[in-house]
Amino acid sequence: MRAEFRLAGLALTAGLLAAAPCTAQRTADSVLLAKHADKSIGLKIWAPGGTLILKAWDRDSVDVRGRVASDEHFFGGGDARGMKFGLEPAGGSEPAGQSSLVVYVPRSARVSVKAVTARIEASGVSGSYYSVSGSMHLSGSASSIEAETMTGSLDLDLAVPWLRARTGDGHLMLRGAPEDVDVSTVGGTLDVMATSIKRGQLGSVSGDIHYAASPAGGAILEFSSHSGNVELILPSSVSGVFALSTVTGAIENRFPGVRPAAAPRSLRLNFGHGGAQVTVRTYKGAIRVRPQ
Amino acid sequence: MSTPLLRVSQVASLSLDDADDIVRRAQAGDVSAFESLYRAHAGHVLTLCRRMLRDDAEAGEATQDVFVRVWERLTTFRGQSAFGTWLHRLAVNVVLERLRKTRRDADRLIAGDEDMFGARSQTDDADTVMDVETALRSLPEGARSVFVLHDMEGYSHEEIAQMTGIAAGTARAQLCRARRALMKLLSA
Amino acid sequence: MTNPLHLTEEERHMAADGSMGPEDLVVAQRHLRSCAECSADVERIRGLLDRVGQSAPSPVSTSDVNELWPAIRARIEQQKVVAMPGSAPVPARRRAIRPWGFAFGGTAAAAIAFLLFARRNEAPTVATDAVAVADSGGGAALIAVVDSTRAFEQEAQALLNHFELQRATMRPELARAFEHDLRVIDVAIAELEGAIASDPTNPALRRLLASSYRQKVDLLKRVDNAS
Repeated sequence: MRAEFRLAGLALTAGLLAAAPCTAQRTADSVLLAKHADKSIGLKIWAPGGTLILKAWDRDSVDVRGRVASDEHFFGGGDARGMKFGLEPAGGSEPAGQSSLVVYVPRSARVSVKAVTARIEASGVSGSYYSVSGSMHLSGSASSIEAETMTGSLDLDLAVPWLRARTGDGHLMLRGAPEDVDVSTVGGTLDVMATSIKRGQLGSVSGDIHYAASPAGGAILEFSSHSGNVELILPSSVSGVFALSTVTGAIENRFPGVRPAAAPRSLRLNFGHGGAQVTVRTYKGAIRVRPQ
Repeated sequence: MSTPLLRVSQVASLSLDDADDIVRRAQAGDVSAFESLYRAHAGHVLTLCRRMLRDDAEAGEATQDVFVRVWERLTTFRGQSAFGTWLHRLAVNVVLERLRKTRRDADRLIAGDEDMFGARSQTDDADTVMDVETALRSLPEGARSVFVLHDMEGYSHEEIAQMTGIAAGTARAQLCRARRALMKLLSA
Repeated sequence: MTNPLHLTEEERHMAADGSMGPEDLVVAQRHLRSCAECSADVERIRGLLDRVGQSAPSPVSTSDVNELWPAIRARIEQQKVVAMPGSAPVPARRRAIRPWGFAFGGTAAAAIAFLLFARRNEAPTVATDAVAVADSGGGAALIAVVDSTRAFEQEAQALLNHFELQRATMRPELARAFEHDLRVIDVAIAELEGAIASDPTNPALRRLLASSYRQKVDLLKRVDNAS
């Protein structure tokens, strides 16, 4: 009898252990939401942790798939013009951020994403992305993008007419074909490798700025940093006027035959014939210009 | 160049959330979103400017000034009032500034020059029954401003006093005069 | 006339447009019932107000709205990024291309093509001229920058006041990041203000200060968005 009880107990324990992974991972890449949507639907997405992947597609529907961890649950609602969905804690404690969502939206949709630690990847999806510490990788073609994170990094590889991006200490990488650009960091490094910028404000407080591209003809670019160093790495075919000035920093020019004026700390470089207008200002950060 | 996000008719049917989103994007520097706001509100602003300034070309310039000012001040809009209300108030201020700068006959009217009404109404064609908009153009600047702001735009005398810098009592007196002048013009 | 004490001009207008207070209105209505002259006048004023209310404003055409936009856009674009001192101003309207222009254009294009070809085969042409004061913008420019700085400063202060209330409820990691970034920006602002105190007419310092305040405003808005 005792042995039978023991066996029953073992079986129950084994059953509970076997069931544990199921509760920890309630669904494996299941469809969480699938609804008809207008082409230009507006979506509000709340993804505090885990991973959020957004993809644009050429269908008139919104699909949300993914895995929801046991400490969170999925909520959502709305109609064809606007939907709101996301993850919220299942209990009182802070979720561990193990969920992952993959969201498919019509190509002309606009999203407003809010995250805390979630890693966000979006391809061809216009809208605004706000995060506390999560990193973001945004790519593809979009009508406009606004991306902000307090400490996370931003990797932007976009063909977009209008782009605004902000980070604190995170790294900000800008590639692709943006046109009207306003990007800045506080202490994070800003790397710019986009040649398509027509109008750009690129700034930092203490972070270094590296620009390795050839500015577009007629472009107006303004770099500004308080104590970060600004480095411009320019191809031999560059064309434009570069006005560099610093209050207490140094200007270093590695193009041959040019020396900065000793005082005040400023230098004007004319490359080629016409082209872009580039202004660089720092307070105490160094400014370096060198050929590629 | 990017195309505007929404046309007037679309903006009119926006939900509050959508409208908020457009305002927020414009606040962040998105010119396309700002163009949507412009197209949604330009008609009302241009009408206001035409009524207050009488001259169509000047009204066009004032409308430009209004939206440039809106762009400059967008970040100060906190959403405590509807965006349209905020923009309208700003438009009124821009027009009043323009009136002050051009030093037209508003000052004389504020001082209470009754003769101006008589002179203007006599010069108008007495055989023609005017429509309201035409009659409005015949009023002196100051009276027209008070009439437009109070009877057409719904501002109180206290608000008008604050915006124009005249006393509320003076605004009341001007409104009475403006209405009398209009009654004469419209019944001629 | 049945009542020698007529309503004043202002009272008649207030009775007509409904802006009279309830107590005064009772007295006025009593008078209007007994005074045909005042009553007729109030009706005339009401008639005007009804007519004004019913009159539609002159229609604003779509073309009117379309025509104004390019100039507005050009003006706001100029504000977004300030062109360098000494650079040619961007023309508000493009000049019409004249037919004879094509002939010159063709010759010029050929010359440019030759020069470009020649240029590709040599090191980049670098011409320099030391900028006397990189940001010498004159008095007007200085005033504009000072105004801009003041606007950002005021906005930052208003946002900071707003955040004093929210700080206690912020997520700890958000509050930490916020405090850290705020410190970095405030140090920059303090350094710039110190430099401006000894060189108050330097527009370059003012521009940098405006940038730092703008960063501060951005930070405060970023925290709001992340909250």
